[in-house]
Amino acid sequence: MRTVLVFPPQWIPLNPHFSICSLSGTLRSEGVDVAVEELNIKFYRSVLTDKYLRYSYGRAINTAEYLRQKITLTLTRKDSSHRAQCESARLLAIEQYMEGGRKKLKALCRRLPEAMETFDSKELFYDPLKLVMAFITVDEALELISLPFFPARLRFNDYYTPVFPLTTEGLVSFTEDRDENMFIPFMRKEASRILKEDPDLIGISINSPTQLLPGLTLSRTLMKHKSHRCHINIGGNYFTRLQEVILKRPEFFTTFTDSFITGEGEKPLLSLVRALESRDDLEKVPNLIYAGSKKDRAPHFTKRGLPTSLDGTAIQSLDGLPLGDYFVPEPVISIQSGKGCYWQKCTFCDTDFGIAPDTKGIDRLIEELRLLRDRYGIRCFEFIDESIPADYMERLAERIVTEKLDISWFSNARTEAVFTTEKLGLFRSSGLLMLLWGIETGNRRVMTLINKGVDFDGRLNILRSSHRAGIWNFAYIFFGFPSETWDEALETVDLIRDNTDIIHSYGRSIFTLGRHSRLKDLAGKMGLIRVLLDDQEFATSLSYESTAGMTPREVMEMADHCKYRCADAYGEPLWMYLRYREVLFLYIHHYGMDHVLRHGFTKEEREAVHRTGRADF
Amino acid sequence: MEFTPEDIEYRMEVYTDYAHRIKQLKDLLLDFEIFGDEDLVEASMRQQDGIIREIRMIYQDKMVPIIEELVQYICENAWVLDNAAGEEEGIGLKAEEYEPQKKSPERSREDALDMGSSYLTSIISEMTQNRDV
Repeated sequence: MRTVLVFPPQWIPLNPHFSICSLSGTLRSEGVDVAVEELNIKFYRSVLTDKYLRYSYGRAINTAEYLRQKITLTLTRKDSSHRAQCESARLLAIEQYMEGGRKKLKALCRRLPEAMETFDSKELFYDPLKLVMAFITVDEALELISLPFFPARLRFNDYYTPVFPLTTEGLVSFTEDRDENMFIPFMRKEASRILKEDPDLIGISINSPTQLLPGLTLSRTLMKHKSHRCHINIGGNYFTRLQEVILKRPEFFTTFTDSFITGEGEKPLLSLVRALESRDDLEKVPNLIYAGSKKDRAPHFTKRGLPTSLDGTAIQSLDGLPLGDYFVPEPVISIQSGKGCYWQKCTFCDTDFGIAPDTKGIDRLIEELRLLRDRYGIRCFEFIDESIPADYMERLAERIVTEKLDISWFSNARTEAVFTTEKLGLFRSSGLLMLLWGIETGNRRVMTLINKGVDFDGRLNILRSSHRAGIWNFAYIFFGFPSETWDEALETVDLIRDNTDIIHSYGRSIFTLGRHSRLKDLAGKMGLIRVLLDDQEFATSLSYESTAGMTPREVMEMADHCKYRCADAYGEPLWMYLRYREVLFLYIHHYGMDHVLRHGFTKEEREAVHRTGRADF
Repeated sequence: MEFTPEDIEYRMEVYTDYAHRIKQLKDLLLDFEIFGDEDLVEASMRQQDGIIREIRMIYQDKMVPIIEELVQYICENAWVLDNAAGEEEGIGLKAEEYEPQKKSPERSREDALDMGSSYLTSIISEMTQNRDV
């Protein structure tokens, strides 16, 4: 019985996703023969080459030649459909790029190998100017790679296309449309290679909206060419949120997959392996949705399994992962001390949907840290818990110190008074370099609506203690909570600007209404939302209209306003150019917090970065 | 030769479909360079030759005849275009004052190829709109 686990694009190519490591660890611990296919990193490595840039340029020329004909017809017919508008925008974008395009292509092909070397070499990666310029080169390369499919856009940390809606029909059309789908040639090649190994089960892990379209492109290709014996399964957080929709869509099971696993996948996947091995009834596999045997093939949902206990779960496995291919010179590995959220009351959040809360025993966690360090040489860890309680963190830190693990780590945290100066000092001595705090807003009314459950006035004292302990404080903030006004949002900007001494860096985002968020059910009663649209069945967030507060356009303007006001307050320090928290963490790990705080680019260096027109902070 | 706007639009649609097929074939040729199976070089080369032959066939046997047909129509009805352009400038000619250019089919074909297909389709589009008016 041969099982292949696939992690499809798109995900930020900085470290392996925890899901694939955890699933392969579970299966391997039970003696299952597992191969891991990290197609996300393979995709980025394949397209970020001078050969692929020339290919993209050629495809852009082909696209423009065709669209000139097509748009003539579109104009004659006075066709103003969404598709026609996208195609007109595409032709315009290509023609703009083609002005001096060959020169740009040549220069980009010359710069790209050096940029790629920067991510692989410790010496170059920790040269700030070289790293920032490498990011800019990759931005330019990905812009060209996306050009034949404009307005679709592949970025280092995102993939988005507005051409098709996220409906069953939209997904079916997109996954076979070579004009719109940049992943088809890559996925065909990879599917053919994977199927040559004659696997019995192929599990595809889809956890993020950015993986949906590439992941389904792969699964559809596999379904088309696989043998009857081979079973395709899709699992992961994304479809867990959409299980009610899947149950109404039998066509999904002829086009995209044989089955879905919803919720936590470790136990059900192992059970699926065993059922296929012994040709047993799939009914016995928990949390499985598969095509029913009746004439209408109505999808069938098996019984819910018991939640996975973290202490009963195997240690994650990094075997078979291309650890040297990620875009950092030393891997930062995701690890979990617990699952779910111990607070569970923030109205905007649904990240813990479908997850039964549990905490790993300290012994088990220490064993995992030690094994990853000794077997794979991992020294840098990212705790992906929603938040770790302070008392648990205390016990963990004590053990890391006494066991002399000599690791560096970072984690999310809630600004709770239990994070005392003493505890924070202990955490720092155990190798904790950075805490990502959910600051969210600077306005008291909005904070009450969010129901964060923290002391609004006292939270900065915790950040001050953390700062004194030598821990980097990163603040999450967001704009656009329903009814938030411009002035209220300004208070968030001011909170950051007034506390640059203790908020060492921040990350801003825009509010989205999660399909399973508490706010979705409460907002109507609270009078915050006027219209609730569920017009895209495979979207994990919903469209809405606030009854008051900023318009969507104003929210975007506020995010931009925040960016420039804070750049001004901080004086454009180095961290603003490092973009991603894993990269920032590695810089703190390499240089120390004080150096990263103090370091800024010289006037000439800053001018060199800004000359590119692509400085992103 | 007399075409209604619908006749012209139909030919444009057929022409655009062929242009799309050519685009897809050209994309496939590019795909071979990046995603071709190195173990199957001979088969790939045969497929590439086949694609190139198909592109040539579509262009010569399917698209050029449409161009020729429409060029002939333009040549025979060129006053419509000139008149429409003239009216914009306030110097429009009346139909009876215009002497259409007569061209041999060979000359029409050469002209069509010289003009290039995109230029041609833009002329046709303009003409269709003028006829609508």
